[in-house]
Amino acid sequence: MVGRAAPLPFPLLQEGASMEDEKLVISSLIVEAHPEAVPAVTEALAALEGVEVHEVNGYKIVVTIEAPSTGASHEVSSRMVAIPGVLNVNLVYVNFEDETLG
Amino acid sequence: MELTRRAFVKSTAVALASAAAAGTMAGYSSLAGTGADSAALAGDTVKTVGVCRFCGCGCGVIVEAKDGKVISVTGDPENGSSRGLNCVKGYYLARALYGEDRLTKPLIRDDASTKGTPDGLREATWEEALDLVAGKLRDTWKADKSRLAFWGSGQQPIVEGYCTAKFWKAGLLSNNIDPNARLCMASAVVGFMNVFQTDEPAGCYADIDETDVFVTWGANMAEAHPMLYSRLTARKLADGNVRHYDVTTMTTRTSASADKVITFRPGSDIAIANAIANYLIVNDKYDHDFVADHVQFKQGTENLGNATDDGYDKSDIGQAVDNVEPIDFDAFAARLAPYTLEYAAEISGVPAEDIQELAEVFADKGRKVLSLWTMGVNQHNRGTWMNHCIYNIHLLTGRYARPGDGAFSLTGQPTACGTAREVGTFSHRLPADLVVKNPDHRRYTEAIWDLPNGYLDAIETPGFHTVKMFRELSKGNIDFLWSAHNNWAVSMPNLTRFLGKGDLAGINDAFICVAEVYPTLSCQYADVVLPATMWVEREGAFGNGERRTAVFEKAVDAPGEAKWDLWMLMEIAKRVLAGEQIGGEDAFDHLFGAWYDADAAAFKGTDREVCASIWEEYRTFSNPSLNPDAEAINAEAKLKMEAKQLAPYEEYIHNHGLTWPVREVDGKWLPTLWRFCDGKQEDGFDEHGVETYGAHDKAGGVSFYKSADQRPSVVFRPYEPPAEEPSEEYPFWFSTGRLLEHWHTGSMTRRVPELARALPEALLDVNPADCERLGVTDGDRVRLTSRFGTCDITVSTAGRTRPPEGMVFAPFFAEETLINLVVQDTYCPLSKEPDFKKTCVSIEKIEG
Repeated sequence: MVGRAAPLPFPLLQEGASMEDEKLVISSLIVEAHPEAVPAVTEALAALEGVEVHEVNGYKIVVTIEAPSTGASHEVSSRMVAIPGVLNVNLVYVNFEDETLG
Repeated sequence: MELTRRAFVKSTAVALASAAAAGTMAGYSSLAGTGADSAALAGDTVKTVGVCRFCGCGCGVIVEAKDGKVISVTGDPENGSSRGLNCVKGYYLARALYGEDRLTKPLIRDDASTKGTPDGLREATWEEALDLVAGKLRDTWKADKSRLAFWGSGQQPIVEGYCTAKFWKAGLLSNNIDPNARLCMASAVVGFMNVFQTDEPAGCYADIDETDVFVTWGANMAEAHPMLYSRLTARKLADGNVRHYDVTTMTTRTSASADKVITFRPGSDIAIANAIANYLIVNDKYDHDFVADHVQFKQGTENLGNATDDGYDKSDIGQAVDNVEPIDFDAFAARLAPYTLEYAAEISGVPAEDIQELAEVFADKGRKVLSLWTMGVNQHNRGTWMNHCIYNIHLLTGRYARPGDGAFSLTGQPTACGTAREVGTFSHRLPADLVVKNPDHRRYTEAIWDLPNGYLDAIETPGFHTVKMFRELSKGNIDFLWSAHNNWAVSMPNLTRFLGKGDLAGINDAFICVAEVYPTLSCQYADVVLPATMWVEREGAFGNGERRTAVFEKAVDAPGEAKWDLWMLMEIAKRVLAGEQIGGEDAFDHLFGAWYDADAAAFKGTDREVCASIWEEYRTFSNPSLNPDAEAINAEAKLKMEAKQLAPYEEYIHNHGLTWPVREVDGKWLPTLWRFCDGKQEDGFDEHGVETYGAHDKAGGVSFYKSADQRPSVVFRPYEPPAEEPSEEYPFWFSTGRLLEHWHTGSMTRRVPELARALPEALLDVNPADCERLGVTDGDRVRLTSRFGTCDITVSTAGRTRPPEGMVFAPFFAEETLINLVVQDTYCPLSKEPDFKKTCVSIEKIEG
């Protein structure tokens, strides 16, 4: 059973902001799942706001998170940990230049 | 983010993760820099090699900086420990540098009565702050040096720890220096020393990829060592025959991969381990050849009682805890004989057939077994003994120091091994496993530090271990305390006592200097706060749990007036040692002049040059041929110091980390992955060590050449009960620990403003049946009370851990909850490491 995650406690997209001036943290992760749970986990991951599934390599699912801050990104990754069938969530790359350069 | 830049960053992100998933992650720079206009899109950025700032896994990261700020981090595929992966704490690596409340100016407290409040600190110049700290330290030192102390950390980078130890031990001739590693690794350290006479794991992380059966003992790897747990689950998924036994006091996320969860009554793990050893002997399922070739048997002092009272260490029993005597195999077997499966089942609550099943796992020589353990074993009133008991099983079955077949103590902090243990920032240690009480060790250290013969005899008696240090502080017997890279006001057990809830005089009268990056709770007790550089704001090196030393390069400047801890140390040492002499020379110049210009108040060179200069001196401890006097002492006293050989500094830069011993073969420096295991050095085996000191053709293809008589010790250790057990007044076991989101006391991972809303507070995980009995439900506030103290906390039945009935768990990161007000400061009598896992508490609902 894959449940939809509860709404995030803060908006992922800032209302009224255009794509150009929107602050964005982009990260990529490898989510590892029980092999039999991979289809359901993939679906649940794709349903998370700001998450895109890019490829599935065996039990490893390659995803990106686009969120307005590292905290919001981390929150999304924490939700991944809680999806039934997920064994690990590995962070590969995170870019937060909008956050640190201001 | 501008659209084309966004597309570029995202495609980089996808390419890197895709390559990492395929196990073909190439160098980051090549991926980021392809394409005609990628240079323009990539912008003017600089990439440096780093190591994660958080746990003991020691994952490599590539840090990208622009305009003096870190803008991205990537798992470093060339780091042999992590191979391109990080856990989600990696999100905070750079964000932790940029918290809004970062300390950027020295702070001074003029009125000690404001201690324990957020107020009372004012900004000061560095000159004023350094003069004040150095003046207090010098006054204390001159008056009574038993009343000064330094509390360091397994987070203090290697060269910084080395210089601190050198200042304290050689400069001040004081052993009152101890690290917070005492709270997490000390039992493992004493176990290593007692069993192998060398403080190091024989195995490495690659054992995880090669084993057939995992046994986790008191370890929640999924939360505390996520990258290694990822390797564990990968190994299980790659081979359906791989098994995992989780031996634990409560169900955790680590239990998710277990084929069998063996839940035992707190403290009874020694009875289980002894029953396994007994079963192996009684049923003749131990490895006769391995035992004959490699093992010696011992027994030691027993009926230790508990180190709860201040007088324990000096009591008759307290002074006898380290004693052992040799026994033969038959005597050892006779000591184990009472530990039948049934007896262990009675003590532990684990069914006898489950213990037998685990014993059969060790008996099956057709399969490799890897034991992994962390704080459940170490933070234990018999923590050293439980380390012994695990090695006993592995040595009896010939499962040690062989690829995939071993016993591996996991470490908690990024450089608990590299600094606290290898450098030796403990109250009884000198660098490189040497101890203050051994005259040969003192002579050897004097040779490398160029001290007059006998100079270090003044420190032959160990100083205050951590709990003792804070007990003395609370009693008013410490006049000067300097702490760095830790947050003792949150992490120490029995804070009810140490934060002066009983007697404020101790903490108010002592002069306390805290070097920090954020205003932690410890700063509220400081007389002076020194703002420190953090992580990649200077160069440094960490030594992780698998003997891997890795350098993190400087990537950006520190904010404001924050300064390198090493600079603070040099400036304070310069002031304290002014006018002092060593061997007829200015004391400060004699100790630190090679890399610091006292008159200019500046280092002699760049961060890289300074670190390399200090490293080369430190490296002499494990390369005695670099110093003729040391070489002579090493040969005469048979110290085998080169057996832990470290490489020249630049090798670590080129290789993104190396596991020691690192051997020079045909001009190349080759690391060792499997210590004491015979085989080719090129393949990671200990060819050079076995050839030089050991013997080939011994059972198992291993040779324990660092151990006395080349034989590790199997020591009988009986089950003795926890310091306290649930009673009518305090009916619950209370265990504390770490969860994935927050690292240690959260002083770095809790800096992001939205965390307060988004991430959980510290919750008390309670079994639903206990909730019903207590009349509480999720979200209710309860008061937790032990005979040590009280705190209030929120109940959860949906937390990450699932304690059995009669037990509760909470993480220790949250200063607003401060669970350590409740936790006992009883420690293992041998290692002096506190038992954070077995305080007995009552739980009362707070109405309203």
